[in-house]
Amino acid sequence: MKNIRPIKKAAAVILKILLIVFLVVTLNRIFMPKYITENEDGRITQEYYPAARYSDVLFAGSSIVYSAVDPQILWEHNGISSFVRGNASQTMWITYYMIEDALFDHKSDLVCIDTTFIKYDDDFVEEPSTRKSLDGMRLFPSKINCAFASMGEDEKLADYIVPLFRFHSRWKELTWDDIRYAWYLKPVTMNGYIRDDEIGPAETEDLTYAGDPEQVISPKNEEYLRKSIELCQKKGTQVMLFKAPSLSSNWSDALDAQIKAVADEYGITYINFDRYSRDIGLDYRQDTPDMGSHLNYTGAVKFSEYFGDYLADNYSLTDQRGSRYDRYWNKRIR
Amino acid sequence: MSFISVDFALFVTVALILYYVFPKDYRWVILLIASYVFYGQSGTDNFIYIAVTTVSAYAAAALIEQMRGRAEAYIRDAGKSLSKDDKKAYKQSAKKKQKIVLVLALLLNFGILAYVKYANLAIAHINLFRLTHFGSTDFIPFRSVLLPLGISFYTFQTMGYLIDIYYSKYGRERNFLKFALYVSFFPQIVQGPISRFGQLAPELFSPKDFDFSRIRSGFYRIMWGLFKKLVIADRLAGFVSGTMAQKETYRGFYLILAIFAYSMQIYGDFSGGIDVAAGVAEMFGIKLAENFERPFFSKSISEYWQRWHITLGTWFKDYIFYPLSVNKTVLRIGKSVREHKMPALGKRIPIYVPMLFVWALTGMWHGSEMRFVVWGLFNYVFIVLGTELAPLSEKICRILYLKEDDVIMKIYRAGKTFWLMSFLRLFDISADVGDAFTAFRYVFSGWGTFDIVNIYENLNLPMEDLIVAAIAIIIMFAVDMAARKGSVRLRIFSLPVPVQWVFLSLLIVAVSVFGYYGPGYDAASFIYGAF
Repeated sequence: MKNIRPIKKAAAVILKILLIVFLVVTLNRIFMPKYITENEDGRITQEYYPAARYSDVLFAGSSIVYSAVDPQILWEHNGISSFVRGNASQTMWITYYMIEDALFDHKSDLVCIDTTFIKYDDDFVEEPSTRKSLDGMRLFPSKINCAFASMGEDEKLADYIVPLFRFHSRWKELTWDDIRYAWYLKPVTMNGYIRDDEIGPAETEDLTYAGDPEQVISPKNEEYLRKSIELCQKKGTQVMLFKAPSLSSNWSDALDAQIKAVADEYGITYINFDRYSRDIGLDYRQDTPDMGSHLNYTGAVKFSEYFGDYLADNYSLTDQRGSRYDRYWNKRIR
Repeated sequence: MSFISVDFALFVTVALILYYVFPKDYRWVILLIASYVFYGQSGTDNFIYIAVTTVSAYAAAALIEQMRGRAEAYIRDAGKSLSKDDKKAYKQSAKKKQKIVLVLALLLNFGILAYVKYANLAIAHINLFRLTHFGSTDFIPFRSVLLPLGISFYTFQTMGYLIDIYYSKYGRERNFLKFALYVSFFPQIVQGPISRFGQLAPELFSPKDFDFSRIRSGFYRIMWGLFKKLVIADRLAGFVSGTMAQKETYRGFYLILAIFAYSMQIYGDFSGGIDVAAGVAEMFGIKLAENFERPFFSKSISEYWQRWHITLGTWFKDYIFYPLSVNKTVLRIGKSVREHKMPALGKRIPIYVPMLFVWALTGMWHGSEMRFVVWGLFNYVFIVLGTELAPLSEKICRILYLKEDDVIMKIYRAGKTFWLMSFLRLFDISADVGDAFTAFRYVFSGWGTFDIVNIYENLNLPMEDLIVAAIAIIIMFAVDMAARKGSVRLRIFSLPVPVQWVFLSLLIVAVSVFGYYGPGYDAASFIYGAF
């Protein structure tokens, strides 16, 4: 009997601490932006977890990827079940931690890494984009390390661990949706793909790159590119590098050559899909919403079909149509 | 490391775990290490200042006690071989030597304090004097001295200890490291309270068993301090500074509002910081001296100063006012005036003359600029006027059939004190003395165009923040009112657990949601942390 009192006391203390944690977590969920009607890419990270067990192929990269690769097309066309872990301005280091986070407890058959953001400097910091990538991430070491790698000088790790610290001033703009969707919201994206039906024709279809022909990949970008490849290979996951089609103004042949050299070093493939625009059938007068930077829905359909065929032909992927995946995809398909 | 940071919360958590894991006899060592780690975070250069104070005070105390011991032993050993007069003379001579040691230590430590606080101000005045009188542009360069963290607080605390040792109030701390802890105890080093050795040492060196209720109580107090600091003080800071910066525009009503808001701001800031310090100390089972006792309920300025920054007030009273009021010269002047047919004035000299010094020094303690000295002297004038006019006030009350303990009279007096103290703070929030008087002048203008219907239109504060600030201030005063009948926390803890949870949840929500912190806010600094 004597021993029961301390146990009861300890249980009461633990319960109190848990209640405080629950309160803070609830506040976090209420105050974090919901990204329902705009900036939907802010939802991609959190939408991955329930979809993870149905994602054999993982695409990782920036907004160029989440607007170009439509997993629904890959599913319908090739039976490939995939998810796009992409975010606006997603740097190579965020891409690495997205892959690390995904492979921590899930075996992917293939990871396709988009290298578009390798062109930026090591000191590239864009807090809103980092937040959109990280706020939905589960509180695992990958998130903490990713925050360390991505934070600007004025940012604090605590703000990433407890997003309430960052977003508490939203109390003035809270809506009923913030409370209604605090704990659950049906997926907004199609396994990471964000559909855009706008048409914003490009002024030119010239694919000659205007970036610095001498540009060298910065050390941090190269480090994380290599780490991403090594991580996949260590986990026994097939990996490839690609540059999704985009009329980006500051790409260069030099970057292509350097990425190709890294890919060769690890015995993997690198494809710059800009070189295959015509084969894909891309028409930048109608397949882009923003003068060629990203693809719109018609462009994404063309590219996804092309990319899906390529993946199905070149990697050992299972056509999951007719498997247990059907139920999931039947629910997800628009 | 700011009190308001995740780093500090983690630091305290680690320190607490280590503190309660270690055997009781060594817990003070954990506190000492924690204090020096905390202090080191403010800049390793600062160590030299606190080290000089610690070593010099420890050595001076040791020397004083040794001299006293030797003198007593000599007199005891000499027995009847010394006459009474010889013994007295020897004692006096020994006391004189002890006094020299004390004065040297005081000069050294207050000299350092004066140097770091006033050196650049003095240089500026010298340069200005040379420029205006001699046209010299050969300026003395400014010293690159940063104010070491909490130097005013630990210097006053340590010198108070030394004076107490000199007057044999208690025995000195023989363990140098324990003494170093007394000087540097981290929760109170940023902005006080200024503790007395007799009160703090038993708390530091007699550790208590772990008790979760103390952790809970300390946590509540910390959260309450953060509420006052982040929800009230920091929310009002922008409004106050913005309005004062544009006082030509925001005259009359808006300026008065800013002046009152500053009173709320500084109370929330300072007492909030003290609550955080006291809450952290309480988690270690250490009770710090209270620094506030509902000052805005004071019915006179002298009462106000007994309830605001109490430990500084008692320090000045004990170590400046009392010694000066029994000083031979002061008493002689008083006696002389009394004998020159001014008995009433003569009686007041031993009170008012030391008080003048106290207020000039209080002003200087608050800041190096002249406006702080003027602020101190205005306080002095109002206290003297309050004392001298008290009989007249009582007479008026009698004529109007008003009783001192009437609620209306209490509200009137508290309101009057609040007004006066708020307006005196104009010296605090103005750039200089002239600026303070200009602001005071502006209070009386701008009323012609004052539009009561559209008050909010011209207010330099978003409506949502205004509402939150108003509700928070009402809560703060309600809690202060409730505290008159005893600890509010103890009353909460006696409620059913679900009700306690409602209180705690509301406090956490209020601080975490409505607090002014995060990107764009400077929640890290405390106004009194700069002293």
